[in-house]
Amino acid sequence: MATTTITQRTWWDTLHKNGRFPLKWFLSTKLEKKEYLPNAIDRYNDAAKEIQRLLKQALDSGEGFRAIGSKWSMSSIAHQKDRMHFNSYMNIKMAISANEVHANSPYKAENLFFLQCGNQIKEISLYLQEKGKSLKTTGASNGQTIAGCISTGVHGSALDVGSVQDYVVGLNLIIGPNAEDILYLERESKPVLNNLIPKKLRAKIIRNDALFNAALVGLGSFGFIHGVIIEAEDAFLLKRYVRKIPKETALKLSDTLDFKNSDFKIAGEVDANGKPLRPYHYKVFINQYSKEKDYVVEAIYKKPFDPKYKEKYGDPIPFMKEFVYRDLIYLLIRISEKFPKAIPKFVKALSNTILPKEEKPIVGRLSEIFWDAGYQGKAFACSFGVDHKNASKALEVLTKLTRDEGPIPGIFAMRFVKKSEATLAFTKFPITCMIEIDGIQWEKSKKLISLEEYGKRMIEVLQQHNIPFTIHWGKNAAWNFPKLAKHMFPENSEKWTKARSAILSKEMAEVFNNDFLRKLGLDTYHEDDFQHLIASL
Amino acid sequence: MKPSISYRGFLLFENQVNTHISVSYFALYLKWLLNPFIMKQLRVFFLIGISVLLLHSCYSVQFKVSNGQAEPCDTEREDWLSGYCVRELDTVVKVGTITKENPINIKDCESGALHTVEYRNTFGGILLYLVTFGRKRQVKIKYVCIKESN
Ligand SMILES: Cc1cc2nc3c(=O)[nH]c(=O)nc-3n(C[C@H](O)[C@H](O)[C@H](O)COP(=O)(O)OP(=O)(O)OC[C@H]3O[C@@H](n4cnc5c(N)ncnc54)[C@H](O)[C@@H]3O)c2cc1C
Repeated sequence: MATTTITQRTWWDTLHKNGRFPLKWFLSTKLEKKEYLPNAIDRYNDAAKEIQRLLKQALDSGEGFRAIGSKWSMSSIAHQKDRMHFNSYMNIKMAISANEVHANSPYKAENLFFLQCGNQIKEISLYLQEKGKSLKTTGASNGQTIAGCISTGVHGSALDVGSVQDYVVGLNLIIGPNAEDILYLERESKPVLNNLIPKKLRAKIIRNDALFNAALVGLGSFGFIHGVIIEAEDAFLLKRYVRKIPKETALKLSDTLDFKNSDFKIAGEVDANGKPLRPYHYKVFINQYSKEKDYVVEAIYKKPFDPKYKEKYGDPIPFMKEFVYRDLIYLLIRISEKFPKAIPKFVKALSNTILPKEEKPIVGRLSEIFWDAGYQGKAFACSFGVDHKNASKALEVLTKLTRDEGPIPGIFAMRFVKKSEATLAFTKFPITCMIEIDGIQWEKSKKLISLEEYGKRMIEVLQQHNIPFTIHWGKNAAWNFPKLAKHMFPENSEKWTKARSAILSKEMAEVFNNDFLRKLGLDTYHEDDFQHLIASL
Repeated sequence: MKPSISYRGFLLFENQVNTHISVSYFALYLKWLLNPFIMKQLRVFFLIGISVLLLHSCYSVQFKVSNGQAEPCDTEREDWLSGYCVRELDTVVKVGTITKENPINIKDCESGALHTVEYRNTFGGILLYLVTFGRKRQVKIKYVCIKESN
């Protein structure tokens, strides 16, 4: 039997200490040992039974239940005051064979993998590597769980690929304690599995695009995601260049993403006519306090896999990585709270270690280029999605605010991500530019506004300038800003709450609620009859 | 006690002031050195010096495998091991005159593999090693296992 350790707690916090949130019970489930239950499906079903038992306990005691991943989110999205469940040890991985794939599936069986929710990006990459495969994209580092990633919509800067949820093609949800509460959900337009695996999982099959897209970025509130099916691809290499280029060029590229006709050219990364190639990834780093004429940009090009890449280009993973002393950073922050004018100087002084350096190109697998995270102390991150055509305008508005009403101890960056089909994906524009400021937490002082005020002002200035935006669900923001969800997703917020009401019973919707959802008004339950939504069984 | 004169940044007090101005500068210096207040100051400096020395003989080295997933835990650490299940081993191993110890067995990694090891060397450890002629060795390590794969 899978076993759950339940500990009494008074509080809980995120990895980067963005809270202290009240909590009653912390739960952590470990799978039955392989020696006692060698079959992976049996171990998986055994874990499902355990999760259902825990859901029943929560339901019977009138308490909430929330699954959490690696607690990397900095917003309170992962918090629930009653019961929080740590999924990380639930990490079964299975390949899918051709006879398990739906006859009309557009996917190749060799690229499909079944992953239990607690699998972390790094272990998935290592597993796929053994099979000659790779994830299509990840965030900038690799510690998140697969269920945690899709629940907020984790992205990198893969212009033409999308976010993590965009290669998830099937979902296994546990929506309550009863036998019929195990669902297998996929798109009707792109079926993945025939009924062999769902039958083994004792899951009810729902093939419905609207429900699937809603559940995909489910904010932790669409039931317990027990497992997902991903579409991987053949292993590939990435070649990463860091360059300093004139601000105007970097911004024009951000607004147009027209690499072909840009002045930004890297020798060797050109087509037959000598025109620049479109990179796999493009990122711009911005020190908003610097008057330098150039920005640092990172451009990454996709290359066919070559097993000799380390011999040819060297090891992409450094022998040792250097980090600024955490205590030094904290000291600088304490000083900044008293003397905010010092912040730009600190940011400049630290920028050598924060910003990537112009060195020879690095070549490696996706999992080596986007590798382990460094700094583990108190941090904040705010991240806004805008249409990339508005990138420079939105950047100007946000950096001006940061200089005028800050300064804030952080540094901006822009990443670019293809539109997601998920109903509540913050990557909702054809190509979304994610404008992010990352930095170290500070305390409000007489001379320095608080993170909450800053978050609120960011929303206000974007609204004043009529720039449509979204916010990364897992990052810091003024989440209690009036009508925020409706403003970001005028139609889709209701589509999402309706789909959620179609999937979850009213009682279970309450179990999977949390304050984050309530603040945003996304906890609305629609009592209507939604049977038409789940018609395509 | 009323401060009277200052000497090299230290205040000297009236009943401690040397009235025999004619004695040599060296005697004056000796007297200054021996006065209780100065003695106290020197002790402080001495202690700071020793502490700096001790700190320098206390360091840690970290190793981690690059191609493995560390075992995660919900911890409240803020250091570089934040988010991982960290185990600690703090013991003294003894070496006999004619026998040598075998490697220390680490039994609590369910995956059977180590991801990270932080080895710490302390002044106390070095001292113990020296005074026991190498027969007792302090072992202070933190380690993180590889996450069990499924
Ligand atoms: C160092 C660092 C780097 C980051 N880099 C990036 C980046 O490059 N790009 C980016 O987009 N974001 C980035 N983020 C943000 C972070 O990746 C996301 O917030 C992500 O969602 C966190 O995943 P997690 O596994 O830690 O999930 P958690 O933060 O623990 O949870 C996130 C959500 O998932 C839900 N959830 C988790 N498991 C389940 C389940 N089984 N069933 C239902 N719901 C579940 C939780 O309830 C919660 O709502 C970064 C964060 C950090 C700390």
